[in-house]
Amino acid sequence: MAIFDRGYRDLIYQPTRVFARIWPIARHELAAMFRIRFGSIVFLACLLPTIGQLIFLLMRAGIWEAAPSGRAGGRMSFGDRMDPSTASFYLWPITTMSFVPFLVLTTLVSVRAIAKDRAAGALEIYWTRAISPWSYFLGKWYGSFLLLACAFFAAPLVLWITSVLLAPDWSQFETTIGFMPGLLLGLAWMCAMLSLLAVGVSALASTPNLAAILWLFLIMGSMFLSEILRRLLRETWMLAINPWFAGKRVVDQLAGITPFNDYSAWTALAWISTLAVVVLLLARRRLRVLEAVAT
Amino acid sequence: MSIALEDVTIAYGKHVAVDRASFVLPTGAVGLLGRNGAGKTSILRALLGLVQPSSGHMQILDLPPNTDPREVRRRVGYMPERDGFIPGLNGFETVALAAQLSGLPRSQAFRRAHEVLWLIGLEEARYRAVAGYSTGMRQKVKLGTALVHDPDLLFLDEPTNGLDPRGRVEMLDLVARMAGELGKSVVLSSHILQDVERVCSHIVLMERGKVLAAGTVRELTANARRAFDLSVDGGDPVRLVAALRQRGVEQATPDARGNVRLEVVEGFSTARVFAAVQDSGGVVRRLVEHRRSLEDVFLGAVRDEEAGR
Repeated sequence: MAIFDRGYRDLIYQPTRVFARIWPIARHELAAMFRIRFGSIVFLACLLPTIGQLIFLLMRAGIWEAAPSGRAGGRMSFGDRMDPSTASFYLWPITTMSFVPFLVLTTLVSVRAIAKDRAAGALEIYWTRAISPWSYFLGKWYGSFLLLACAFFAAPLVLWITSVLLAPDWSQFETTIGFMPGLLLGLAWMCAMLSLLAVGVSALASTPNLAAILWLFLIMGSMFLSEILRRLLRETWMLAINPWFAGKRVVDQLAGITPFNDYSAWTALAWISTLAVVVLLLARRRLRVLEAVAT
Repeated sequence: MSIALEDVTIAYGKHVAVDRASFVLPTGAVGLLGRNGAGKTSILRALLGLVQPSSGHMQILDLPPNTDPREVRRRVGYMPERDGFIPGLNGFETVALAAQLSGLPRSQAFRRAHEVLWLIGLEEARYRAVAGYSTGMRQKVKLGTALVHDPDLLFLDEPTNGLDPRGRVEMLDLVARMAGELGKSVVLSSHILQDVERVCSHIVLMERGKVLAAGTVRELTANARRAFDLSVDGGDPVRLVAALRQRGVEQATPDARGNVRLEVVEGFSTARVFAAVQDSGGVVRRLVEHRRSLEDVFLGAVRDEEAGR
């Protein structure tokens, strides 16, 4: 029957697998930032540190020759930040310069992901479909992870590929390949954990604004707390209380960088994992089907 | 048979929303009729596997909803009562997303979303954000999301909520078309008698979590005894009632305006009524057979339930 007759066509199909049902949720979450022009501008602004580094790289392209050996280890100095053969060159725009962009991206998208659906009464629409609350959560997290990864994983990857292509020979590749996989793995892990925390906090709140307040309180509050405790107790590992600092410490470790405030990366890993488990357990309770429908 | 409930009780903490409900619903258009808080929505949610009954057995499309709720939801379309929408999406994206979440591949979902939006009359507005839709358009989008994956069974929870008279008629026509022309089984949950009466052939009456009556509209509205409405000019009402009873009328109930509702057994001759009125000194102004409406059935069942408690 033709649809233009306002007819109805019986449907014969093989139901898709779970991932095919999760992906549309992730895609909409990822696209949420770019639906309005303001979001796209904010996203580009978040890439400014890396773009700056890329411009610097291009400016040097004509005169720069790669150092004979890479210096993956050692403390991050200003010279290293400007040297494309070091890990610091790729990490500096992210872990040092991108705290505010991270806060902006997570506050505008990740931490609103579930709270906005809850406020709009959309959870009942989702959960009366053939997906579970966890599949829904996974979709939201995946979309949020992809957004952060675009800014904090893909950008340094592009920077690295550019540096390799601009180099006169394979020496840049040979110099950097030793630390780059660890660095990228660390950044991917950091994006995954921080987006998980943000989406988890989003699941706890009843409105997007409340979620944003909770998130800012968690990130900024823990930052001030960690700094105060570090100074009072003279223990550098107190910095790990802040998820951003903890993530940064793990990335440094994987990239082979010794940070200025050195402490065990395991402490940071353990703390951020504990935080993620606690948030997930609380989110699990808030994402029960009954909680969404039986009001 | 598409749905069967046996002694189903649903409780939210100490509050019992559904109390030992039992009924079997045939295919076609079925109405769940009851006031707000009667337990209609709880039954629909339990059938979708969203709420666990505290006791009893249920079956929907030959599946127990608690065993594989996602398979049940894949085969059932649900239009919730609450005014909810997925923020940031337009009409087309909302319906297409619902299709994909129900298990349709992307290309099928997109094609199907366009078709369904055309079917429900939202083709012109499909690329506008749902947040900017009127209540009637949002109700239609909800219907579209319920229908897009070609379910065997449709649950429509208060589909005419918040609609103006024209929107209500359009929605009911659509629902009637689903059940008739398109051959879908539809369960329409509503507190509006006229809506249910207009669309459904089979009805379950509910009140305070209990099933008061279930059957076809014809069965429910059929009188066990024949009834007449009698209007009389003049005469003595007390003598009239006595004379009517004397001539075989089972029940004669006068109202404040002097009209009398008569209940008689099958085979009763109306000539006896005329004779009784003549005996009382009055003149028959009007005598018509009374047919029970669904409202009479509902109010009667509620009265019986309250008297029995």
